[in-house]
Amino acid sequence: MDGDPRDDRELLAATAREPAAFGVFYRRNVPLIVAYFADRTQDPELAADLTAETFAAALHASRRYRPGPEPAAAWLFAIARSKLVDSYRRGQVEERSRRKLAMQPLRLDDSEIERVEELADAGREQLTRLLAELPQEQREAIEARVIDERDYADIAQELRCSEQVARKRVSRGLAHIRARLEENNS
Amino acid sequence: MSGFFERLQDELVTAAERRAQRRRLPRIHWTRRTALVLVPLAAILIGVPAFAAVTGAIHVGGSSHIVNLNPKPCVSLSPLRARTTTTPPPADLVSQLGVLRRPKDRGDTTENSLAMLPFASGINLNYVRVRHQGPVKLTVFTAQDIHALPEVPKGCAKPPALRKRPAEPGVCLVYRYSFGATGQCHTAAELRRGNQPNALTSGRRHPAVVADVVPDGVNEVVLRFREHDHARTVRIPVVENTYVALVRGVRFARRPEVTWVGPTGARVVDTGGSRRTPRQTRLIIRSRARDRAAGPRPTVFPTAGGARRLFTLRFRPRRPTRLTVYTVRLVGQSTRDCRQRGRRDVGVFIPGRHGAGKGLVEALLDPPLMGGGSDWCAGTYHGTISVWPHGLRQDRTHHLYGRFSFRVR
Repeated sequence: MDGDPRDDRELLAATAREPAAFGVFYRRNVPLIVAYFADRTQDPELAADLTAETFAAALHASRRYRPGPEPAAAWLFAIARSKLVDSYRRGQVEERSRRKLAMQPLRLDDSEIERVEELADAGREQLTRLLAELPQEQREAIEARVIDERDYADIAQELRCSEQVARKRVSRGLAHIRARLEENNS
Repeated sequence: MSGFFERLQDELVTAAERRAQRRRLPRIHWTRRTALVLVPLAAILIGVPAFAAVTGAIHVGGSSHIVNLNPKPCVSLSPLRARTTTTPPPADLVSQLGVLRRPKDRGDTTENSLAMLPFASGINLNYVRVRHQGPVKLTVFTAQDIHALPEVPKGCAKPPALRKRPAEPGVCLVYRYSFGATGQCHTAAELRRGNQPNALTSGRRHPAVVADVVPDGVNEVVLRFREHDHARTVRIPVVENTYVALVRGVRFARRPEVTWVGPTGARVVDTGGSRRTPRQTRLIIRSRARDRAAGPRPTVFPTAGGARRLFTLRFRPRRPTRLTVYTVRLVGQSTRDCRQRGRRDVGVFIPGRHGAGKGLVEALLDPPLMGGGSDWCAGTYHGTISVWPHGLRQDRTHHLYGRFSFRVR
């Protein structure tokens, strides 16, 4: 898709010696993150601000990133969620990571607000496509766990399965999504 | 990507380059020789100034050099504090809000909600009113300036991104719920004109909390949320000039229509919500008509178009199961290089499950799908649709569902 054969985990690992790799990682994931924030804040400016802070935090933490069984996008979403919760708690979006990286403040012009929505739509479509590939039970489990952020006990009750099975479905679904993302990227 | 996101990418890559350069600085390898050099050097650097400070033996004339180690950073990490005043709020504002005219009681405690809105400055603590409604805590207060910028420590540059608007007094509402807090302020004129509530949302698991301030004479607020093909109406009673409701199952992508209802049932204000232009409305009506007309046979609209045209593929399969998915593949010239032909997977689609779009499969075909270019190449593009009756897995069967084509002029 973007011509870089490396997956997100490899891009993050390469960021320290090859800064452009983070640019590729950013381009791949920015629609998903914008969609995540746009859905939760219903405010394009806030969504753009939180996106900027999330990627700055991801860049700052990229040296500490250790590839695990989950896709790198899951790691990025964990940062995004933490930024969102912080913003609710403080009533404002933090700028700590951007300050640490000495990044210039960016302003979203009124004319660009529509583009945030477009990008969010692209992210939602990307997510929908990935989810549509999964078997129904995995799709439901991932929607409940990753998108709605519900507890496994809660999910298990709704899906009428044990907590272990719910965990397994989420894990298998994420593994499938990771494989597809790697395939698409290559 | 928008200009903002491109600039953000540039900033991130530049920051990554700076970090990479810092990392490339040679590192000290600790050997015995390093220790032999560094230990005496450290002794000189620490010992000589210390000796000079204690004995005054070394004195350099003239003004001393001050090294500012940034004792007061330009960014305050301490919790926000409300900027208060004793100046009473404008009479115009108080005359519209009975809640501010009633005496302050024990429940109207000042608390950290006042600092939550960093753009509200000049808060008079005598005009803070607190109300609880179920799990939601609402705090109403007045501010001399509702467009204030956050305080910047002396000697620090103001962030250029912030625009200063002239000071205007207003009334603010902050409300807290289990997953967070939010708020907004209105001027007296906005209160008269009618204002949009803001909403506190946190995923589909939680309800959205909708709240706002209304002037005297409003007994009920009716919010009408328009979704794709239906509307939902929520009626909320007004208590002490505020209203709050927990609303489930609505999205705030479009502003609701707001109607303020007076004691006699008459409409005081009707904002009508966000409006579409007549052209947008016409296009949406036509698009919905095409959605309704879609049958099992795949169709593309328009059948021919220009280089930047967005083509829409529609079909409504007869009896899809919950597991059935459809994949669409497009064959034609690459939009990155018109001399090359290519084959691209457009995506995986599932029939709509709700409303007018139930059973409908709709795919938007735009130029970037065929190689990332922004313009189609002149010629005909052909596509195929495969159906996977048991989900998209390599080990599952699939077969050809149909074909389609469109022409680019």
